[in-house]
Amino acid sequence: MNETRLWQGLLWKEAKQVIPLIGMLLGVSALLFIVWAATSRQLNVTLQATGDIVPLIMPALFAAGAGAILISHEKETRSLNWLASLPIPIRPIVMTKFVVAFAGLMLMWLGCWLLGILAGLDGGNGGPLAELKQIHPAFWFLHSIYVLLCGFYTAWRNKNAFPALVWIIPLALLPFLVVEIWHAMPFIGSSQYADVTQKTWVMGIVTALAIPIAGWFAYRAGRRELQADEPERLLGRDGLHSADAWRPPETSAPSELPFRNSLTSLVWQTIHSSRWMSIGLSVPLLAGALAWLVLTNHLGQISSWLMVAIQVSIGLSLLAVSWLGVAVFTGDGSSGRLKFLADRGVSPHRAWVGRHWFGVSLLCGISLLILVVQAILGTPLSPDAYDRPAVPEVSLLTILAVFAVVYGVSQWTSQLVPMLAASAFLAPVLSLVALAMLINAGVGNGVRLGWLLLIAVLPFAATWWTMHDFMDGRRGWKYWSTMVVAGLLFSLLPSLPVWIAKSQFPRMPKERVAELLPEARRLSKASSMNFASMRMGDLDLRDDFSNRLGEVDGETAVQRFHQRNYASPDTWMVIGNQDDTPLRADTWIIQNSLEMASFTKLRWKQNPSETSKEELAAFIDRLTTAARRLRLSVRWFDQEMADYVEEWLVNNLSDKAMQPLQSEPFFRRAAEQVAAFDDRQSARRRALLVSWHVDLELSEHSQWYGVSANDDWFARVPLNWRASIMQKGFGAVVDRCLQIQEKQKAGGDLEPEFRALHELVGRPGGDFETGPYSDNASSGQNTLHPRRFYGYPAVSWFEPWETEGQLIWQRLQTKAQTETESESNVPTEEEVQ
Amino acid sequence: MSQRTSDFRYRLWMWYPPILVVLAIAWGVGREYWVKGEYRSVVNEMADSGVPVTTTQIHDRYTAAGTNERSAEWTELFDAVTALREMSRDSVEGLEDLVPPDEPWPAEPFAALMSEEAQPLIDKLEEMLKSEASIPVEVSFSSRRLWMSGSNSGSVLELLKDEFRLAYHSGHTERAIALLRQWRQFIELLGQSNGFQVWSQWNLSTHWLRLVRQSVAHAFWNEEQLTELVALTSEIQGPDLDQWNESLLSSFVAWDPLQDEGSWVRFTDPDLRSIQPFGASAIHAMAALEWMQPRNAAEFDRGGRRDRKGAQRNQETERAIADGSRSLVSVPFATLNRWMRQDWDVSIAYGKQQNDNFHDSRKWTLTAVYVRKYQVENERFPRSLDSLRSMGADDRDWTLSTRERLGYRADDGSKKGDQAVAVLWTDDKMHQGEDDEPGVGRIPYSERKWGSGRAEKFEIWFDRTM
Repeated sequence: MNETRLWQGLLWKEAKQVIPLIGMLLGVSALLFIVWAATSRQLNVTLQATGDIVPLIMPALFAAGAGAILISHEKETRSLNWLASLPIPIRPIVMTKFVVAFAGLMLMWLGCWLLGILAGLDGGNGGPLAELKQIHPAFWFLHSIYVLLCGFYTAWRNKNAFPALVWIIPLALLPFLVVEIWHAMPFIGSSQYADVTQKTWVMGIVTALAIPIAGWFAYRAGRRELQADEPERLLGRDGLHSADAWRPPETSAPSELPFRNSLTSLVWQTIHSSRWMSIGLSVPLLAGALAWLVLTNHLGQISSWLMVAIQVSIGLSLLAVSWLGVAVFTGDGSSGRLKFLADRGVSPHRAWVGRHWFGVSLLCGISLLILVVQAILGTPLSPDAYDRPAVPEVSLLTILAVFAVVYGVSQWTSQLVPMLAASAFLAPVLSLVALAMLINAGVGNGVRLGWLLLIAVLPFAATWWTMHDFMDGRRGWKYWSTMVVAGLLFSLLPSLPVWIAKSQFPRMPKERVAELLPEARRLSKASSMNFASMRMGDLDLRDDFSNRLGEVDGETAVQRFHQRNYASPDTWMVIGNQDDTPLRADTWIIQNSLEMASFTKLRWKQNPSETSKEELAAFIDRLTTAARRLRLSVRWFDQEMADYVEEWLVNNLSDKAMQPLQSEPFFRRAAEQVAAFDDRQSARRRALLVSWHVDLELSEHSQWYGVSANDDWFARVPLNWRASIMQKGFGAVVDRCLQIQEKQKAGGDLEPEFRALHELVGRPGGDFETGPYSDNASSGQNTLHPRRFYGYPAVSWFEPWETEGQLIWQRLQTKAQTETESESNVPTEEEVQ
Repeated sequence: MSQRTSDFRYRLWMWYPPILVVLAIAWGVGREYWVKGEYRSVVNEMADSGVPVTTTQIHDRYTAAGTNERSAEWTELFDAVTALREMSRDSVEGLEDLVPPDEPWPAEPFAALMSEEAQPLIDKLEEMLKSEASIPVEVSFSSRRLWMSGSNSGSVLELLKDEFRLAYHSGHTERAIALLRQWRQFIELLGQSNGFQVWSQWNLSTHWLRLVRQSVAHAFWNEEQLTELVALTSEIQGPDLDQWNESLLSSFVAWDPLQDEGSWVRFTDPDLRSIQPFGASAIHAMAALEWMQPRNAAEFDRGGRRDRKGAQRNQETERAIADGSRSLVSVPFATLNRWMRQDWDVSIAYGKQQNDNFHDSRKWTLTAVYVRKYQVENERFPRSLDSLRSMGADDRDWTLSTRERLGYRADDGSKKGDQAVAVLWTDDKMHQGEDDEPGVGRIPYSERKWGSGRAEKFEIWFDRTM
């Protein structure tokens, strides 16, 4: 045969073989990106935390899977034997496989690079994988070639794909191990202080040296595999060892059921069909269990190499759990064996149970082992209260649930994708994604554990349901539709309770919307959205540079004290002089001003001079103006702050000590402000309606969150979906508040309404009696409500201060009347003079 | 090995793990249900015995204590004091130092100005203290958890400290002792007014003790005043651990760790969700309750912190409670999780340690006052602490809760070039500073340096001039 034609043909064949792997990897990467994009609102943040790893998945998985696809799969389908029997030289067969694999790897790296650029990954540091990310990509490139060659070697050497894949892992870890050992050498110095660049160099050199070795081994193994079988050596009587007589025949599949019970036979088959595989999966599981126990029991600092060992062991054990699941339906020709059983009339469900038994028992055993050892060791406690293990102990159910999800999704994947090289890599990724999705549903969305456990059963139910078709090898539309339905259910069911809960969340009833919307629209149009902000005076003395050096001496401090003019309201609350412009509240400034006003009042009471009276008057005047202008605002929060200021004014105007000042103009102005009951009600109503309308008018996207409700309302709703009900909830709150107003007008008992409002906003402050509305109800005690409750709506509504405010004004009016009456009788000062 | 035994062994290994797991889970679920009922009945028992178990009951318990119309004046005063504190905005050199009369004090002009500004407030404070109007307390609940605001007393503390420093530097002994008296009165009134002001009181008292301790380092007080200081110091009360524990317990129960609402999705308070994302375990709640009220509380009181056996016993008890709280089905954590423990300081050791620290601090102060008193009366420092017995002090006054005795040494100035100084020090960690450092006593005496910042927290030098 023409040499070129031969090469061409072989290349074409290998390329066709490797295409499914490439397609699968593209699919996985796309899926991961979709999952990341769907689960995270801040895509950029998530990508920065873990994103650098995502593109690397493609070359990494390709490097590990190429051998299994190109060699093991051919061994399983026996096409390799056929190829070896053809009159073609061995070298081209081995070399074309390698060339195609290498070309594929380069393609993957190209794709990885493109994906990195497309997603805008900058390789930023930080995140959970910070240390790994610091390693230069060039090393990963070298390492992927090394892994590819190792994969070839193990695939040539092993009969089945599964052990070949398992064996790649220790070989791939070899460079890292060498570096750790290298740095642990006494003459090198501790690895703790070696920097990543240095380590990368050593690893790079080790890998570069290992590549030709691995290549040589792979080539030699390939040649040996394809060579004609040696004739069986006939041994003489003396050459036979006594044990040889007991050695099982070379054929791996048992020709008859070794046990009477078919289930036991199936388990026996799982374990013995490839003993290396059983060991290869059980050992990392055990190691992972041990590592986990160390992690939950070790007090104090864990040395870095131990930490690496622990992380690797736990990671590998999770991989082993996944592969245990994969081994249920793929690998070592199990599908063929199942068909064999089906042909002999073994019930599909019996076969299903039998195939699962080994994995399930092993996982149960491992969980029990962890539990028992932990119970024997007891809870680790050290005399130092802050010295605790890195990870707290988790419960049996937690471990089982994690196992169930990973194992369940993996066995499902393996039934769906019977090609081992594909499912072996797809399964761990998919199962971790599924696990993350379920955890997110529970932690972030508050979905109940029972529901999540039910969903975890779904993959098992799906494979059980379709076992019949799978065993017979007919995967028709019925099989695929069952799988699609199950897949959809699995991804949608975790969100179902959230959708239901969301739809049941309180909102403003439709008829109420119809009733209020026109009014809200009219008010919005009529009211100006202009506003002025409050600010403090120059308390920091920005132009004075004397304190730039830090501490000042006493003299300078005195000077700076006088520069600030603390006694003037202009220092504490600057609001400008546009009297018709609504004011926006700043809680901090209002709080400070009220405290300062209390200070001037006390100073006046202790020393009633003209100056101190003027100072007090200035503060009260400023607060009165602030309250009046806050009332003009259409933000509901400004109305609350206006309430706060007015309540302070009422309390102080009704103070006995202040009564001599009744005739002062500032007193009258303040009294007039606090007496305006009806104006206050309409300002409140207007602000609520306009705030609500503002939310309704928001663009589609921001309507979701709304802008009017405070973040701490509805705090009992899980955080992940709280934002999405804010706007709806605000509608309900507005409705409730307006009902309170209407009921007050009609003269009804307000307590039930306030109780409902307290319930609606998420029970701030615990019971109703200790919440912000306890003193609004007529039965409530008149206690000072703590300042932290400002931020909830209607906290000061219809409390005694509102009526007290009216009374103050009435008293002033009566007094003025009596004075004018007496004035008309009594001669004025001028007349006396 | 026959095929039959092999068959049997296979079946054994096949069946055992799954069956055991199923049994364990069933047992775990059953235990959760059972303990839930038990928890509820324990809470009911507590409620019956008068322990407040809802936020309303806690509120009533701690705020109802005799509020009268004058209480509003307190609020006004606190607001005014807070405003005054806002005026001390610059960092003034040496403002926080207690400087004796004959030494320069760079912050003096500013301190004098602040004192002048504060005068109306000081007068009002005096008036209010005389009237004995009860002090209103801000009790509120943040998602069902008790929240005591100490902001009011906090600013008064700063005011008193500033006033005292100025009086001390000006040599006004009468004014200084009057301030210390008012300060003590304020602490007592705070305690009487409200059922629960332990931490505010504790904070005020700790500062009081520290200032008194610092003040006796120099010749300032006369004999009569020192006698009064001895009385005031020995009377000062530490935090009432039982009360503190009860409030913690009430607060925990009111927090309702087992709350679980919503049929489709769990609705719970955010802080509860963050430590138990998948719902609460009754076993953990029960363990926390047990932890907060150890049945053998008396045992904890015996022996000091350093007592190795006691420490070991404490640890054993903690371990027993933690092990007892191992739930098979609580997701994710098996034992009472550390956030729950940290959040609630669910450890008797913490409260005990605070108490010990406070009393050690009091003893240290008292001994320092005695040393000064001895010096004033005899015109020389005592040769050893045993000489203080003549003034009515005894061993207990200089033996700390760790059974360590305070260190003391005096130079009488008889050698040429020496000055008469004395030093009183403690070797143990006493929380005198912000951080938990070992006492200077671990460093050999000869190697200690005068004036090192760390040493100052643990040493009092009498009549030392720099």
